[in-house]
Amino acid sequence: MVDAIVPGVQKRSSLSLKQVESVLCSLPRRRFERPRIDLEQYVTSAHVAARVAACAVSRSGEVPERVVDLGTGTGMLAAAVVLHGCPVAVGVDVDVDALRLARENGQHLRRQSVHKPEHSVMDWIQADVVDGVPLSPKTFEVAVMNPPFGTRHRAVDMAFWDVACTLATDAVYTMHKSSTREYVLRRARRAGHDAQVLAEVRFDLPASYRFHRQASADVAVDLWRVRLR
Amino acid sequence: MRLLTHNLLVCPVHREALRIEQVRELEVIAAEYRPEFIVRMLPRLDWGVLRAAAAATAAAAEAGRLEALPPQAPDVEAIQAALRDGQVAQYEGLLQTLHHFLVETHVITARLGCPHGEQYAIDGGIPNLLAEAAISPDAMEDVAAPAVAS
Repeated sequence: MVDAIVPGVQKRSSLSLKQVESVLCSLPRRRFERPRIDLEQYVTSAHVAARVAACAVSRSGEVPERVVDLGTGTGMLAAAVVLHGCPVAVGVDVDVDALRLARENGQHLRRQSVHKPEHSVMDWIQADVVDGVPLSPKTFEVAVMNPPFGTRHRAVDMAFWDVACTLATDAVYTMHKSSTREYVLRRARRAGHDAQVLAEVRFDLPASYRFHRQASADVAVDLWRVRLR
Repeated sequence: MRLLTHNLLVCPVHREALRIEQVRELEVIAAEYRPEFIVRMLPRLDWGVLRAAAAATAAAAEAGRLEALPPQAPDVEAIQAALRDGQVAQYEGLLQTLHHFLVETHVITARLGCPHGEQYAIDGGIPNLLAEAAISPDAMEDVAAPAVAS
């Protein structure tokens, strides 16, 4: 399903999409130790992260120099953009336990010399994205994120959207529940953003939370691209 | 956290650049030297912030390295032109030094200080920049320098 977005994507690193996905699968810290319900923490799968990052680093001919990953969690999207050839990725999250896992993943990548990750800079910042993100406007070319979907705190995903649009100069790649597509589009238009759904992704949310009764639940999620110039 | 990332940060409360203070632990991890990457990052750097960060993290034996960083930001266009023409050798000392500080120097345990007095802890290489985690200037008796006995 997500592969539909991959054909126009040009290769930016020495790794193929499948290789990026397989390296992401090999990261030692892909699961949250105790996922926090209030933060809607769940892991972005290697399959989705590899493809979203491929979109994010493939804008008109050039790999972005700097990418910020908001709500990075265990750092899957940040790791994916680095594996696709982006030299600087900064992950921001409010939860330091998640960031420690992300940092371990980054160290693991750096030690795997075959993937040349020593080329890349990955760093982690504990901060509240919505309330006082400690980064200057227009610091990054691209922002990527799999934000909390706002089922616990209403519209928090759109608050992430707004912050991402202030931090990036070129584009934001972000994911929101497909059920909110019309609302997201209206809101984007009102803000004057050039926003487009690139793909519909099926998220397999594992039953990591007690209130999920099924073993896992498929949720339809849109991958959005916001063009900022 | 590398100094390259530190250069992007601002205080979440006052939106001002943060000084690196009270460095307790650093790690220097060798990374492949890529002058073209350093040159691409140059125009985006706050030079004053970088120099202060380099001074705060340089070991005593590295005082010589700091001299390679001039007081004023270097002429990026001249360096870019030199890189294009293969004449980058004259900037080698500067670029190697920038590589060392920006990419290879990791701050593991320290504090970040806002000019308005707030301090933020860096622990395990991760800065805590939650506004509510700021250590306010009023609550710093425990880290103040001990009074000199007369």
